[in-house]
Amino acid sequence: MASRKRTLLKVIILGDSGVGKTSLMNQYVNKKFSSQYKATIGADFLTKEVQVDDRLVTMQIWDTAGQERFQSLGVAFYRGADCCVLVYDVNSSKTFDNLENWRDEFLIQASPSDPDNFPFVVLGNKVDVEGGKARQVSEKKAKQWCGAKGGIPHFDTSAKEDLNVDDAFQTIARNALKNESEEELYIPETVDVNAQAAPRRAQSSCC
Amino acid sequence: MADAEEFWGEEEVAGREQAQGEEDDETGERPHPRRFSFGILGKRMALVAQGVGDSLARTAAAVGEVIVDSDLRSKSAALLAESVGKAAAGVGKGLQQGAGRIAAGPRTVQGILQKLQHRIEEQRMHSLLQEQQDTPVDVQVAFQLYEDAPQELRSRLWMAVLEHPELCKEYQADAGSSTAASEVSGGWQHNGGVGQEDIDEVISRDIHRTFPEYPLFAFEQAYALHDMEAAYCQGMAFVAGLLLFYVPEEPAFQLFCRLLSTSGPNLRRLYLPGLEGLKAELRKLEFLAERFLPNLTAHLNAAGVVPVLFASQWLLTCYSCPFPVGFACRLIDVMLQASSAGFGCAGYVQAAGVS
Repeated sequence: MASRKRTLLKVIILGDSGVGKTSLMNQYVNKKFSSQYKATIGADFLTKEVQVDDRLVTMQIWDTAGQERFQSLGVAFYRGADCCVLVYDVNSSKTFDNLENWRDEFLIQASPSDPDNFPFVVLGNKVDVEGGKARQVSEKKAKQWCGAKGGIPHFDTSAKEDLNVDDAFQTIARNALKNESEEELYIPETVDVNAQAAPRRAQSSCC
Repeated sequence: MADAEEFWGEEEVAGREQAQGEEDDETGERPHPRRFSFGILGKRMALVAQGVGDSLARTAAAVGEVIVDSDLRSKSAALLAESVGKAAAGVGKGLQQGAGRIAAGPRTVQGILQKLQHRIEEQRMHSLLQEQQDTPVDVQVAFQLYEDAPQELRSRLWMAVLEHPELCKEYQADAGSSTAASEVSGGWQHNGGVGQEDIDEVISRDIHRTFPEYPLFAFEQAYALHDMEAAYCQGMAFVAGLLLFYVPEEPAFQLFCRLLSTSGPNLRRLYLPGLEGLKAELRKLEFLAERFLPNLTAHLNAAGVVPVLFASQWLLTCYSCPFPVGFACRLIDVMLQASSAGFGCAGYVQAAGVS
């Protein structure tokens, strides 16, 4: 009955609808790309074991719905996040302009203890489209914005062609780990929902 | 890289065989020797391959977009033929393996094959859809459940609900007639300055990843114009897709309006900006779960999994995501008849022509 203790990193992916959040997550975790992902309704998550230096950590990646009205559900998603990934489509300047809103909204709703140093990572996705000819947001412009926000790491990515996806998530894991406090995370045992037994004594050490 | 070479070599050999095989497919004279070893999926893929002849030209054109070089273009056409033949051999699981191998191949060819995979996947979905249309379903008429009924029963039930509004007393007042509905929408507030163009963009980003085989764009666009406050919200397209599975576009739209209508099941409250209706339903779910499934609730809470994380999609897609379509449709059966609860089943059964 002992609870396992391990490092769990919670990563939130935010960005406008259709920029490729689900694709990036799936490319990273499952090494698969499909142009036919269904729109994410509400949220979804995947986990992956990652080696960061000599530590093995579990990264829990939360994928969120991009439509604006879903922001009001944010509190439940954002709480306890260790890193926030902001994704835009390099072929749509609007999705880039909205990063500001996504960042602000995240900081308001997640209210991290040290908002100025909370780790963000920015990904400019879909660089493969038309061989880059459709690009509306230059890497320079994006890096400028990232610099102005306290030096947020920026990556040009293509979930479709698996370009920079691993590198980006490695950085995400590293930065999340820096932010992670020393608290011990409690991973509950599997529970049999059909069991009639009285609820197990709660591990009062946590929560 | 050795792996990749082996793969391409194999492809080429297989390709020659299969180019041959494909011709045979069209004439249907020579049974493909490998076709039967892969079970139902293989057979289905073989069927698909027969139809692929027509679509091949279109696919090649689509692939042409990414290939400027004419040499490569002809090569890609050959590749298409090969891989389609491969599909005919029933490589359902091969799709996945293929993806791994393809990753090792040259980038351009990788692009071609990915497009092809989507094409095959589409064809597969199409044939699955066809098959689903022939599968018996459970249809609920009032409190009566008809198990293993032909799908047509559901189409007729839904059409009956629409064509005989007099069966639904409460609903009579404003449903069915579009003028009444537009009067209602006239009273609604416009959604905080969001222009139609923005809405159109959101819809177009969404619909190709919901049910790509249905004309959902016009559908959702029309609804956004009809109800400017709810406009378009992710999840709506799933509900529309379910309706379009059984009835043509126009009645489907009317049924959709009806499902969302405040005087009907009022699904629109779930979609309104702010999602307050959704949140209220989620709180109800939380309350019920705590009461009836305390163990599970405690477990989920300990892991930080609250209803909003998993149940939002249930409610917003009318339970079609991630539950089976049949389950979602039965729910729609019930909701469409909900406003006529006092009417009993007889009227409906009659209306549906199954008495």
